[in-house]
Amino acid sequence: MVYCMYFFSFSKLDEILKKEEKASCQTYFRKVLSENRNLAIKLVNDTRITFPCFFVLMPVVEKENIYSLLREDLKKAYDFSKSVSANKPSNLKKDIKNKILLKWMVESSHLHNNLGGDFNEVVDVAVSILANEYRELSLLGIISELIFMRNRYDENIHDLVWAYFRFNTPITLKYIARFLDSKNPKDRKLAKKLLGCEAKSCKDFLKYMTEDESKMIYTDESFQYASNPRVYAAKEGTDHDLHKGKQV
Amino acid sequence: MIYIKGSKFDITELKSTYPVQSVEHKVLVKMEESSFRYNFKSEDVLKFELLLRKEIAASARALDRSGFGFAVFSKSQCNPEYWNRENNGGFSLKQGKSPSKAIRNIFENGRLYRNECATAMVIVYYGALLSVFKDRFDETFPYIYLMDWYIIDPLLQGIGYPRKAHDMLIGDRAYFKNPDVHPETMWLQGENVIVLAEDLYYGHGIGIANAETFIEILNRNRKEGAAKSAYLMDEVARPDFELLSDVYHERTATAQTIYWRNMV
Repeated sequence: MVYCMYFFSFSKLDEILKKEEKASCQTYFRKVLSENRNLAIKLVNDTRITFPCFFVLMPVVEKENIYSLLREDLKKAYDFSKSVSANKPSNLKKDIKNKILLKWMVESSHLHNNLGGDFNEVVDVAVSILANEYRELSLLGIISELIFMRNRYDENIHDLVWAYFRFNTPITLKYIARFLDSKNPKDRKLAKKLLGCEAKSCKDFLKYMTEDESKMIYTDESFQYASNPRVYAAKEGTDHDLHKGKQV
Repeated sequence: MIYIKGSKFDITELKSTYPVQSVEHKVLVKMEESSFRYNFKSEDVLKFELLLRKEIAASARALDRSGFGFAVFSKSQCNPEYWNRENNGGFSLKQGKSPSKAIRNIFENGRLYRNECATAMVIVYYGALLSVFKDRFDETFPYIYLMDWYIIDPLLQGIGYPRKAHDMLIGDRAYFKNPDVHPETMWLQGENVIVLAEDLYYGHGIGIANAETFIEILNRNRKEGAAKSAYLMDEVARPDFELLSDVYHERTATAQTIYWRNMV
């Protein structure tokens, strides 16, 4: 079982990844493997390891043929990542253990930055499953952070944004609204785009929203469809439109 | 109904200049027979729209033949001779490279490129504009960024804003939506298409097919126990034909192009 220790302290391999490049982390792991195989296996199976760190080490796991020595949940994370990368179905059945595994992948993913498109793709699919199948609302805060973190590095956010809004609750908007108050102009610009309104602060937006959330309806629009997707629109017969004044 | 400068336009003479099976002829007749009022400020603008719609359809067919591959953004690929592959999976024109040569390269060496369906739509539009603007393409579109409509030339912004339309015309961008998509195949949440003829569409990754085929393919990629079928939305996106016509006929300065270049 994966534990949540990574909130309190990093594993040795995570510490290296945090301080240095991906390649340095892989080199260190390879070195320990060649010198003390048992220690290396212990390091990778550390319950505090984050998914990003494990993902970085996956090529070494494959090359050094140590898959069979991984903990069961890491084997599952490995298989899941490989399936996503190959655009094949993961066949991950819906159960509590797999939910915890997916949550670990998503929750720990914001602890390292800029790991590239392949990594992001796996996280996007994990978020999509958690949204569509488990409706795991406890992750909304972390996923919204992830969206803005990626945007700061000019990484792709389209699938992550789509998966995030598939939680299908106006609460998603409230988490996005927090970034209206960010000191980073890129955050503020993206927040306005995702909210589709001209609110100047989170307080303004929340005041507007709390007037009557029930008048809003989820549209499932995405960046695949439009430049400025209208994720929520006014229900028919109401004038509660977040997108007033927007070009449509 | 077609109106030019507020007056009803008789299409007889203009229609006779196009072959009966041509895109221009079909679009003109559909506009004329529609109960919707199509307004143009001049006959030149109408002719330009007909020409560009013809080239959009031709460009879509050409991209389909080019071998241009499908890939999600994280696995997109481009020819590094002309394009930089950006962090977000989009392609930006390399400094010093000719925009027209770079766009032409996609159509001529499609196998060197891979991207998803929305970016393919943008490439279709640039391919069409290249055929229309010819040797003026480079000065009109000096900076190109290919990444769906998230980052897009101000002259093409209209294609990122679908809206309800009375008629679906050849050259429009339409969308097949898949509301119950499987959570692991997010890229099949929908399919962007170019309308090629009555019930004939080009969608990157699927090819040229009728609506039934697009819907069937999307339906095969739904979640377990899905209740909703994929469907063709009743909204379309169009470039601002009048603005592009003005640029083509040199009635608009290119100031906004300069602004866009500095913005990205």
